[in-house]
Amino acid sequence: MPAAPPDPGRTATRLVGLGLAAACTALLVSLLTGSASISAWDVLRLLWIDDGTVDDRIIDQLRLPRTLSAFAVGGALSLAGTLMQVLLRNPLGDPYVLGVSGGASVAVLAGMLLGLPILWLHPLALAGAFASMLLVFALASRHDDPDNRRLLLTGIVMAAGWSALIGLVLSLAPPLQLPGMLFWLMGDLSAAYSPGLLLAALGLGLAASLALAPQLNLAAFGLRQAAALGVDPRRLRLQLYLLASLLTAVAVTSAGAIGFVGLVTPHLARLLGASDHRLLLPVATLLGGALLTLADTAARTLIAPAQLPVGVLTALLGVPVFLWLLRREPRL
Amino acid sequence: MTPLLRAEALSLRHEDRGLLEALNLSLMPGQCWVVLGPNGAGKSTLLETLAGLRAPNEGEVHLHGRPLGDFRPRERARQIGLLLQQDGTGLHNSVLDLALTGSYPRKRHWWDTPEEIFAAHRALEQTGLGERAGQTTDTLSGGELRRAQIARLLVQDPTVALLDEPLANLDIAQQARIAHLLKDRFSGPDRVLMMVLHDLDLALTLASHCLLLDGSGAWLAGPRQEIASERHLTRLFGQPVRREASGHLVIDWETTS
Repeated sequence: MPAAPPDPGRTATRLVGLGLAAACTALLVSLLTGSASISAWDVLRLLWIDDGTVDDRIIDQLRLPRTLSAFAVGGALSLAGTLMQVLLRNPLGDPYVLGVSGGASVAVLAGMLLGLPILWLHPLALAGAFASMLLVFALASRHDDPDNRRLLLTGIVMAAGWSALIGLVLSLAPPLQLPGMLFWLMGDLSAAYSPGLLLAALGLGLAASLALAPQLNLAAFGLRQAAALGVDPRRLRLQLYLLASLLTAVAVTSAGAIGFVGLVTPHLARLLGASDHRLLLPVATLLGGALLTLADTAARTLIAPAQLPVGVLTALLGVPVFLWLLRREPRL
Repeated sequence: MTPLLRAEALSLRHEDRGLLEALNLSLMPGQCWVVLGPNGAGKSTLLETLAGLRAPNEGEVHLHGRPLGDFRPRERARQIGLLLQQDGTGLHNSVLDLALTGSYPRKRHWWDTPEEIFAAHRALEQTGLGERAGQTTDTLSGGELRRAQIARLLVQDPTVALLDEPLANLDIAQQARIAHLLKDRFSGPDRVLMMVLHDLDLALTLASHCLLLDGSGAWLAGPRQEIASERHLTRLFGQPVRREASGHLVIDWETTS
């Protein structure tokens, strides 16, 4: 039976609605969950009113920033993953495949090993991410590379190099420092940047990606074909690479290398019916934000007062959802 | 009359190998060119160069009398359409998504206008894929995918259409149908069509002009009647070509060289 042509307008409304609903639910669940029991009514009230009580400070200074950080980091990773998958035209693309997180991790772990003050870690991570980003692009960009295979290979090899260095640092580290390092590697939102900064970065990244979306729809069929239709392939490649890497750098430097979200939420959005990038980018961003927010809620409450690394929980939550969707979809 | 597209002293090389030396070629409105030559003769490289995706090693390409390099990419894509020999299937995109990408060169809005969507549906119907619009491209057969890519070219609606083996993977009936569609749409009074084909019979039926490339630099271009002779084609293909009593040129498949 021929598939009925989808009505793009209705699909868009449905999917954006779904994404927004998921995002709002996740934000609410996260705000309502915590070791102090605060009623839903109070939570909603205290978001807007400052009454100086302990509950007010818990909401305004602990739960709200953490929730918004988780959302922004999840959204940024998911957006970066979507961009990477078009850039590499490879469904296995994720924010980390080109080594950005590896560079950040090595810099941070080296900093920890040397006993540098904690304040240095964010700038160090950022510097590591940038160094890796520039190195990969400089090494890969000289040649005619319509499918970006050279970029992918260079990135993967660089990532392998970084992960060897991570192993080296871990094996040299004194046992007392190991838990902190491992926690950072698995992703941890407790020391995230200010949520305002993260949300601003995510908003800018999403706006820039949306502006490129019509070109991304072409690039999904190959950069050479896109070039034949009037896209400047070198420029688009540079824009995509920079955007995806910057978003990844922001996410990784604030929360460590949280896996899974960036790889899987773009597929999740596609499985739900968003293939056009004008729709895919915002939907994937919303779903990624929602997924990480939920995972982080679980991470900070399941074994409270101790915390689990959030990266572990994103995968634990995401894997069954994704497998279920994949089973329903006969082809991908 | 200015040619729509003109190659001037165009030379192409692949690494150290010279593919084509000093090609002069004028594509005039209404013509239908067929490019013939053995594998690796530089046919695809030539099409990509004429479409502005690749700079020539020497010489220049002019579009409407202006050097191709002076055009901005999108401006160029409104005039020149290129169907690549190898083309991808996208990332879980629908057949309609694929056809819609053809509207990019003329796109004025971020969203798709009803006219663009209508044009994409119509092009899919013309290529016999009207029923497939909602399917993802990876569910199509090779021939259907080819036709979807041709639908994209119909949406793009260029004045110069360059097609690299457009009929590969199509069954006989579809070959005939698409060949006529292409000729009707792209060799009208203000348009020109150039195709790389391997089927000699089909090539000589469709062509008004032929370009023969032997892959070592030599070339021969002109009206079909002058160029498509037993002698030229036999030398080009390395396989005997003879003229039958009906006047048709056919390949002698019995002999092996």
